[in-house]
Amino acid sequence: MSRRGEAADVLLGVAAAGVRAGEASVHVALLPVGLAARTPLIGPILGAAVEQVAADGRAARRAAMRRMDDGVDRALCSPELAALVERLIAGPLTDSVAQSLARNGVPGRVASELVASVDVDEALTAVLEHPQTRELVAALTTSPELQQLVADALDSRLTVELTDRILQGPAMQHAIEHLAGSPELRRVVAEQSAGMAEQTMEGVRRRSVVLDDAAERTVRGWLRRPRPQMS
Amino acid sequence: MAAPAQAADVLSAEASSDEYAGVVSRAIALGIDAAVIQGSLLIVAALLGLVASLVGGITLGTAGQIAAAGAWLVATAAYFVVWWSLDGQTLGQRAMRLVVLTADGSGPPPPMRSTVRVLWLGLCIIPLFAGFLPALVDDRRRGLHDIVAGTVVVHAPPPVP
Repeated sequence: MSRRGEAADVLLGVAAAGVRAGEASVHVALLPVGLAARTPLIGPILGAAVEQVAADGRAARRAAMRRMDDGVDRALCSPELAALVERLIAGPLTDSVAQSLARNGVPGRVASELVASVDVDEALTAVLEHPQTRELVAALTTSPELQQLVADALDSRLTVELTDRILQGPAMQHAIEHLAGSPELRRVVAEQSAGMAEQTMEGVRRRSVVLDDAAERTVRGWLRRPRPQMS
Repeated sequence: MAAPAQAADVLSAEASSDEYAGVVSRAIALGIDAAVIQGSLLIVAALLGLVASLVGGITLGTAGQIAAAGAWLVATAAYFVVWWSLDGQTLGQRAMRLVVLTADGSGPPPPMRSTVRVLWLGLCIIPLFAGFLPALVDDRRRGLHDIVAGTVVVHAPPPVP
């Protein structure tokens, strides 16, 4: 370290020692005041004076805060600040900040932190159950403009091409192969088929019994030979 | 063998004509059986013909054709006899939930009685199914082959799940 730097440190040390000494002397000087404040005669008078001084201090603090708020408001609403923000956003700083955020994975970290700290299900449920959400959904679903928009989108050639591309895509083929090879799906299809076959046969059986009786009744009617009642 | 036993119980407990199967139900069951056995025999015959064509073709003489027709008839008859004797039901009767029992309802007919029944079944079919007409007026809805063989056909109760 240079000698000049050492001299500056010495000067700073002397100043700090002086401040400490002044502090100690103030404490010593205020000792009699503290003792007087505890005496029954002088204490109340001194307390009232201290309270008056404190009230003046509070009023001054409030006025200062008010002035500061007004100043901040004026500064925030000033066209100069708007122009400054505009220059900041338009400048290269915004790009640098965005690149830095992306480089350090800040969006992912923030998202992880949010997901970890917020109960997503509960938040979603609250949003979905909110009356305003329902009103919004009702308004959207009954909106003629939205219906027309959806109809136009469905009728557009892009939708057809997009659907074709999705259906012919490898992901869809893979999904179909996976579904077709699924034992659960096969079991369900087999059960459904067996159930349908059984239902069909049940219908055939029921109708054939009715026809049995009808045929027998008809022939017995021709022959005038009624069916015996057996218990 | 559960279905014939249950059917026999029903038969002995409450002998109503509703328990005896009528001509329509039995005709449908017979149609299913005919499709099954004739379809199976056709496939077997086609396979045999294919194999024969691979070795240069086999032409059957009159005796051979008679033998083949006889084998066809025997296979058809065997199908009915085996199923009736074992279970009281052919595949078609199983689909229609019908059971062939002896006239006293004691169980499926034995092989000899099943053989008599199938022979008479053929005789009932030959005159344009006229052998089934007695089932329309008989109190137990028996066809001619049932009367001769001493059997009845009843509705089987639905299987217990």
